Amino acid sequence: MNIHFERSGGFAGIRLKHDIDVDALPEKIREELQKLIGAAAFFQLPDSIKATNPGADRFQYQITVDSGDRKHTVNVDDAAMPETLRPLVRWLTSPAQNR
Amino acid sequence: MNRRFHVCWVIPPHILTKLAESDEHREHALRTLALGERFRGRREVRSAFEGLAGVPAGEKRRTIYNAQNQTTLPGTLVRGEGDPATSDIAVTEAYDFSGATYDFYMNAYNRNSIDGRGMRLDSSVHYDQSFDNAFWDGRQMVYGDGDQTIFDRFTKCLDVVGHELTHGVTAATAALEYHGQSGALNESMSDVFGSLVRQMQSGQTADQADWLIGAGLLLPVIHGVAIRSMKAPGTAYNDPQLGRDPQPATMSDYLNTSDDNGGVHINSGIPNHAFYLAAIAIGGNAWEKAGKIWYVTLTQRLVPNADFQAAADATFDVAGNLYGPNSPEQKAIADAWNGVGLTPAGSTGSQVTVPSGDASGDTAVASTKKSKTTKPSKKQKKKKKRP
Repeated sequence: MNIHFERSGGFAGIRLKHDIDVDALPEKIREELQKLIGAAAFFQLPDSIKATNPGADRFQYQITVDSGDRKHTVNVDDAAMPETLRPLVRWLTSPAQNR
Repeated sequence: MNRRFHVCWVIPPHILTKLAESDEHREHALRTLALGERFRGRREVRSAFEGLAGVPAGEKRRTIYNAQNQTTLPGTLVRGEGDPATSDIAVTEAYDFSGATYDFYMNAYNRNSIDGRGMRLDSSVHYDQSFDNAFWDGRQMVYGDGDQTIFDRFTKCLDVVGHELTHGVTAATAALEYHGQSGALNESMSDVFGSLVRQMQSGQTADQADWLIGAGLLLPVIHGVAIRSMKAPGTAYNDPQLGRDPQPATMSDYLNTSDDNGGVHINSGIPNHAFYLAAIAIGGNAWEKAGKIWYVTLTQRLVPNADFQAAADATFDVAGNLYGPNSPEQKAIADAWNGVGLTPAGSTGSQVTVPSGDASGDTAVASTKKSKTTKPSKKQKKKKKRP
């Protein structure tokens, strides 16, 4: 399984982007990540989740999960983030740790 | 619009090995959409404050909430106007800096709060977990704690607070659409007045100011002095983790991108730099003349889809109205826009003289796109939105 993650916008306007080879992660982390994807019902989410009033300086996210047999991309505004998806986004944006 | 996707400053992959917080998050996993939660919560809180609606004009009314590392807004009320300080520095900063911004708008432009009618200034701190952002959600200011690896807390800088509050002022006036050039103008207005709040607070003239936005927000380990520089866009940071500050200073480096609502935080470097050049050329306190010209332009002249050319045209025209045609101030505005590659309509530097406030028709202004319209000029009666 692969995850492609991008975050743009925000006050700083600094783009965050990474690809994660989930299969290469230690088993415990892999299982946690798979639970987060499951809890988000990621493959059932709409392609685009846009805010009607996005305000200003908010983040936009693009997340692609490719599990081999299934591949899905979600574009979501921070202002319209489903709470079920937020834990996965928090995981993907948590401070960088060197592998 | 712009389909090309140029990114010359990609952050090296943030590779993650720790999953620290998933257990506590899972309990929230079955919640419904955040937006619905937020609006429900807000209505309840707002109704509790309806009694404050009659506070006399010209008084600050600040309320600070603690979002307690969740994403439901506004959170728990922790400090109202006149309440004593708490031990929470983020609360203190949000309170003090939103107050300084209120005072700035009142003292510099006689503006009573965001809407000009004494609107209460609501701020929520400790939004989400390790959240690397501050934003305006359409009604209030919201601040994250920062990840404490790259970013410090977002209440730390007065100009960041001034930036967020100015998004409210823009929403209440020109309502600049948050994409493309109008979005970059929206961003630039927030940087301009955010910087001016700090300059007034510090008692700095244009040549004494650092013209940085978010100085101190990046932790010392990061190679950078700030998030943006109005004096020298593109030089605020250059770091292996963050990449390089991507801001252009002139139209020749305008970045076409679909990212960030069309690069609103990137191309804002161009009008930011124009303001800097104007303020330096005029001299003295930047909020007095250059700031006044920009303020009148924002609140009375720009329309929601205004582009950079419209801002150049309007500021030039406003400078003529305020300080006289061919005044040093008006010439400074023309020179400033020329310095970033734009020629205000009606200025001597342009190829064709366009009647003020009317850039329609087939006039071609050298090297620039045709302007989006500005509001009809001069003595037109000020028309404000009454929500």
